Amino acid sequence: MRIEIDEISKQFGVTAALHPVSLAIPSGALVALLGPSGSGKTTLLRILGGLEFPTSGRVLFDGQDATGLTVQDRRAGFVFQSYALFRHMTVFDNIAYGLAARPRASRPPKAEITRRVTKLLELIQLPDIGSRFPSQLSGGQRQRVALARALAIEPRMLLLDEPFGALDAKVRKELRQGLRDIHDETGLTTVFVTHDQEEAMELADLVVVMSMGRIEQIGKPQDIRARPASAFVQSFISA
Amino acid sequence: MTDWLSPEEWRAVALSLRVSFWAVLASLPFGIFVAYALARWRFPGKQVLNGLVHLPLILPPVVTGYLLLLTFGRRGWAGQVLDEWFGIVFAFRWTGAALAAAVMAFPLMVRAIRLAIEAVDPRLEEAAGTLGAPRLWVLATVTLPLILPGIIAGVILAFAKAMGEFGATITFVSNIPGQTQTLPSAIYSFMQVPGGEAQAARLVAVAIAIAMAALLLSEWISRAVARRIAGP
Repeated sequence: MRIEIDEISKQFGVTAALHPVSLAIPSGALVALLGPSGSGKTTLLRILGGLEFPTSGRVLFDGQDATGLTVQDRRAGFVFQSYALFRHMTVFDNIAYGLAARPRASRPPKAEITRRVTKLLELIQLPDIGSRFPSQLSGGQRQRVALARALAIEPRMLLLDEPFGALDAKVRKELRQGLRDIHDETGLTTVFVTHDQEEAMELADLVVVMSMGRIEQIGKPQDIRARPASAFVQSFISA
Repeated sequence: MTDWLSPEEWRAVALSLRVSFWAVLASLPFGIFVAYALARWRFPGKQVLNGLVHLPLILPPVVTGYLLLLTFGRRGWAGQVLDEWFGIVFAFRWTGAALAAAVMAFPLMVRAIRLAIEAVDPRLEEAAGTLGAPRLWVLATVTLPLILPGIIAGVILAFAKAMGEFGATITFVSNIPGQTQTLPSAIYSFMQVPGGEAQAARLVAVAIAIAMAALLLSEWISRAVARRIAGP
């Protein structure tokens, strides 16, 4: 799905988290929002997911105005930084949550839910952990379960907030490839937030560098490396 | 079984249990709602609401009882409306004792539930929302299960407070045997009459037994719930 961000701004009280920013994300792209903390990247991601609403500006999905769409109606698969798994439910029930929460008329039958969850567990290469609880999983496993839970609702896009933030270097590398594979397999428009320029450059097709609520540069990783648009981008990507 | 307490004493014990049960049960939905509002929402007048909820904890119980009498008494504005429209009368009835107990126990209930809600990561509720779950469904499947230990703690605390409530109750609905004479009011009455010490002592023993039982029960329930929520 094509995403357009049209002059979006966000005020929290008197502080501006986002000055009007615009961005077009082509369908099927894998995009990194890259910047230091306080750059507005997470705010922008949350606005896309319907968890925050802009003070002004519009969000368009496939050319249709989605600015006022509720979080429930966005159908955006969202992976939180801390994964936000439901600790009182098994892995199976976590992944099935979005399907079981549907109104009766559109809820798939039990057997269909089981089939889909089983398939997702295979996709994240953890076929045997359905009956475990989140507390019994490693950090990397939790992240993959969170991804499977987001994919279960057949989302129109995938949004990830610092998806590799809390993991050690070796697991990070593995999961980067895992996200790349899942993106290529599903073809979902994917946006992830990171403060790690190496991660953004390695994984994304399109990198959006942000600072202080503004977009500094949009481009392919190699173009940003070759021609940084500002002193900030220059210093941030060489850090 | 019944012969070691007189019928009058039994009535007081049974009434206290009934009053406390209904006080807690009827105020629980409000308690959860107010605790949720105080923990999660930002709205004008939040501090006023917070103050109002906690007022019975700080005011002398007699003052709370008197205010209840002014508001829900036969000539109080709320008392008249409820009587005329719904046929509900609080003044000098056991329902009034339940109302007084509920008001007095409310701050303790709200406090326990609010602390439990504040301990739940709001991102869990957000995550459920992104998965398409409507807000009430999120409340029922995510928030409530996670705060269940806090709700149980609040219910037990409120029940204990309701069982012990004296000042506001006696001011609001008086001390009528069989109607508004709860366990504490009965103990108080027996102490006023010569030779009533033995009766008072028996009721004191009952009060201690009920309190201990409630405490042990709450301990047992919260352990079982904590085990279930944490997973094996």
